[in-house]
Amino acid sequence: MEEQKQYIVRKKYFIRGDIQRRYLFMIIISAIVPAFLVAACLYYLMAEMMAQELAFPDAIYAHLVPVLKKIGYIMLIGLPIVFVFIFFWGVIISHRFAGPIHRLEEDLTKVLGGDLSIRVKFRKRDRLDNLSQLLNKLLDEFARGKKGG
Amino acid sequence: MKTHPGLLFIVICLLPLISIATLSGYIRTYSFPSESVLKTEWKEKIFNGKTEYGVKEGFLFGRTKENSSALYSEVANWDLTKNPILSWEWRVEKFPPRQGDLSRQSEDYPMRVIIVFPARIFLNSKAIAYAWDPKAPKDTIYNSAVTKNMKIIVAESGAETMTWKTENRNVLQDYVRAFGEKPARLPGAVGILVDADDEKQWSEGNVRYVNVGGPS
Repeated sequence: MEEQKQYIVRKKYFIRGDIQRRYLFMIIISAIVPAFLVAACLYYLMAEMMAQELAFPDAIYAHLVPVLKKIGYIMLIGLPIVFVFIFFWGVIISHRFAGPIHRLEEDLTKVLGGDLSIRVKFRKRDRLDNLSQLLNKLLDEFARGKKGG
Repeated sequence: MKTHPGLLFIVICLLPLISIATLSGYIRTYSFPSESVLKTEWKEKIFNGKTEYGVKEGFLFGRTKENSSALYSEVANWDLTKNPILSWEWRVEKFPPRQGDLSRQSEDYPMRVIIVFPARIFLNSKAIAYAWDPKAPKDTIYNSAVTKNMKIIVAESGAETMTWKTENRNVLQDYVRAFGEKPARLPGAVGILVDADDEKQWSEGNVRYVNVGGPS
C-alpha cells in the first residue's frame, strides 16, 4: 500500500530570518522596476507622438498637458494601491521559496540535535515531494546506521 | 567632348525640379495656385473642429465660426543666422469680435502665420505666431494664454478688411525679442491658423503666399 503523503499547512506568511526578506526584495524590485520602465516609456512615447501630432506649443499645452496631468493624478492614486498588491503578492511568492528552505533548516537542526524521528514534510503546493522522499530515505538510512552503530 | 543624349535628357527633365524657391533666394516658398497644394504641401492639424481651408483665385482662404485647425508644413535646414526672413502676403476678410482689450481672454485671429521650433522634450518646443490684430499696436508681443512657449507677435495692426498687406519679418530678431535668447534648434515647421473657437464667431483670412528663409 502506498504510503499516505503528509503535508503541512502554511500558518505564517512571513518567516523569521533573512531569506524571505531577500526573496521579497528581489521579487518586488523585479516586478516594480520593469513595470515602471515600461509604463514610463509608454507614457512618454504616447505623449511624444501626440505632441508631434498637435505640433503647436499652445495646442500641446491646451490639449495634451491637461490630459497628462489627469493621467498623473490617476497614477498618483493608483500606483500606491498597485505597490501594496505587489508587496502582498511578493510576500506570498517569497514565502513559497523561502518556506521550504526554512522548514528544512529547522528539521535538519532537530535531527542534528538527536531527534531521529523527524521526517521532512513540505507543503502540498511546494511540489517538493521527490526531495522530501529522498531526504526521508537519507534520514532512514542515517537512523538505521545510528541504531546499528 | 561628346554629351550622351540620355544624360542630356535626364538633365532637361530635372531642370523644372530646381525649385523656384532656390531661384528666389528663399529656401522654401508656398503659393496657392490650386486646391491640390493643400494636400501635397500642407497637413491639417485639428485642435477644436475643422477650419474650412480652400484655394480661390490664387490665394488660400480660411474661414471658421467655432473651430480651430491649422495648416502645417515641415521645413528642413532653415538656418536663421543666414536666412532669417519670413515673408508673406495676407488680408483679413472678417475679424472675429474681440474683447477689445489686452486681457487675452480671446485668442481668435482671422489669420496667424506660425513658426514652430521643436525641442528634444516636447514640452520645451516653442513657437512664434504672427497675427493681424485690429487694435494692438504693431510689434506688440503677447504670451499665448495657455503657454509662455508660444509668443504672439502683432505683425499687422488695424481693423481694415479686404486689403492685401505684405510682411517681411526677421524671425531670428523676433525670436530673440520674444524669448530673450537665440533659438536652441532650427525651426521645424511653418503653420497657418484661422480660428474662432474662443468666441464662436466668424473669422476669415487669406494668404497669397508664404516665403520661408530669405537672406537678411
